Amino acid sequence: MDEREFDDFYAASFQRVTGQVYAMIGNRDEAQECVQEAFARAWAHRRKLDKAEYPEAWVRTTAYRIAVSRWRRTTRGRRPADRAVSAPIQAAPPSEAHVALVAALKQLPEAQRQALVLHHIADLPVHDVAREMGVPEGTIKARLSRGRAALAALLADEEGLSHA
Amino acid sequence: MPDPIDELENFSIPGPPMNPMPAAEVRRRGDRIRRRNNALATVGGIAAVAVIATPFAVFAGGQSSPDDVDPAPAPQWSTTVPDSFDIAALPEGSTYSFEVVDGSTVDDVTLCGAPAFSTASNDPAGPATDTVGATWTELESSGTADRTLAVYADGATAQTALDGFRQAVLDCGQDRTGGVSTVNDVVDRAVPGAEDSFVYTNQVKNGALLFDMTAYEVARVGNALYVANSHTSAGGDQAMDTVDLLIEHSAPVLDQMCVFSIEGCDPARPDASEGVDEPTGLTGAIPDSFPLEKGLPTDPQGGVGLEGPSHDLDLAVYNLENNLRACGVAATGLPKAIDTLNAGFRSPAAAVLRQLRTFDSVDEAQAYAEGVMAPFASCTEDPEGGVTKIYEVTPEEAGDHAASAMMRVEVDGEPGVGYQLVQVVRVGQAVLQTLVVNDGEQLDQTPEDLRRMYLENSQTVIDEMN
Repeated sequence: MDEREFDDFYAASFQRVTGQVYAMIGNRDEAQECVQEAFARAWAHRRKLDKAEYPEAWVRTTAYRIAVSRWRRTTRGRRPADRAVSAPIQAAPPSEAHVALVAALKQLPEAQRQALVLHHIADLPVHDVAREMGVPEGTIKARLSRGRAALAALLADEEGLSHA
Repeated sequence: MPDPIDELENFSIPGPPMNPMPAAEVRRRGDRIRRRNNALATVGGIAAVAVIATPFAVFAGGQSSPDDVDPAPAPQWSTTVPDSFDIAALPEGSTYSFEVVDGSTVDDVTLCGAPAFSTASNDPAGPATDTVGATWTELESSGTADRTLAVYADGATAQTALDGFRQAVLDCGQDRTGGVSTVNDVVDRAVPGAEDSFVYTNQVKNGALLFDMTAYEVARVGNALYVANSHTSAGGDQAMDTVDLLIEHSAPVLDQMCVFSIEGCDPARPDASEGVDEPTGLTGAIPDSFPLEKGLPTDPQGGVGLEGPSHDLDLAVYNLENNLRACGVAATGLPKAIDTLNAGFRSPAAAVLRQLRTFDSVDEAQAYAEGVMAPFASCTEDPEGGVTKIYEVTPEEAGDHAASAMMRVEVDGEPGVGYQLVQVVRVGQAVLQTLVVNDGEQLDQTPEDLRRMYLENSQTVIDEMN
């Protein structure tokens, strides 16, 4: 992967992957930083990445792992340096429905949330979700089924509360 | 009720368009990461080094050192690594593997500008007489690990190498050479099976932030020195997790290092000579025909269904490494089994893995059974975000010793879906370990009912162990 190919890959994938990671972790700023870091690592390992069948999946997985790692550090009282020196992105308030969806996703078990995001937001078929998560397709189907049911229930609860 | 699928498929990022870092800047950062990794690999900052000094203590010959005051025959040390030594050995169920290389994977470790350890001639203690190495890299996480086993002319030289390495770490708490500020900390860990050892971490320090942590394990047995390291881009309090993992994963290498000790690998065991450890029940090799699958579910429900019994079952799908942890901590120093037979069951919603192990003695079997439970016993709650894993260890009435570790999930204080159960039952020198993982179903039975149910399902196997 040369510079031009990498730049094209970055331009084409950044927003999409950031959206997917955001759905997984529920924090837009954090998602953007983790995806940027994942792309930097992708460039650092570009020779090996050339052999990767799904480079976007590699970046997404790496970004998610970085996010989990940073979350653990943050919860243990340490603040990543790049977060400390960068200005937070000023975002317009999201809609109520969006807030409810993100909140509902965060309440799901991690495995179900990942499966839902990869299948319904990243638009990956079940086979590819199974490959990316390293589990059998049947497990993914079960997680999707239960995740959808749980999400519907959580959104219904939220709607009930907002109408009360 | 809103359709969650519509909600998901119309998911978008709120707020103004993102303004990502220019691609050229991302590449520059990638180049910096690459340069840093290469530099660390060169000086041994990234690599895991396992250095074993090779002493094969043989008491024939009576070649005494001229400096020896004691006229007793001095041991002759083997100065090469036996071909059978497996420097890449990992605990059962590990999901990665090392690549064996000829020679040390860490040529030298320099601290505060001074050589601290090397298998070459610039080592303060002198060159090793033989080395083997192994290396592993995980592309996705930038994680690396390396091992070096170095053999020295004798045990005293190996000890001098270890002492010099340890003192260099102690003398170099903060290292500002090379334009990067790093800190070195000796941590309070002993390496099981080593005659002497120390463990330390090396981390990049930027203000209050610690990151790019490399944990080092240095252990001596006889005239062999094992140096292993593991690198992660994280740092700070996570260091302890990485240290424990490093020691745990090195255990199969330490188990082999007795070949370099004065006593060798078959010292007379007091308990054996006194005949207090009579074999009882199942011992030694376990036949493939052992009915380990008895009592497991048979309806695959669209999944894989029954697997085994087999000595070669693919254990990766059961994610043992993760499922036997609690609060990020895994059991360490578990005795090595003589033999292990596996049987499993997988449906879309649940997985059950039974592992039957035999040990050299009742004491080792008991230590294993208790050791597996130890992480769960020391971790009652493990919160992550709004999800809290709650662990409870309960003694059971089965075999000579039995216990269950139940993990259930709470989401914001309410019962969540999924549970995990680990059960061990020891009968004599054999231990039956059952792992149940259910990540899709509501816990509609009490933990007591589930524990009892799985124990009853295992009763046929327990009876066969007697």
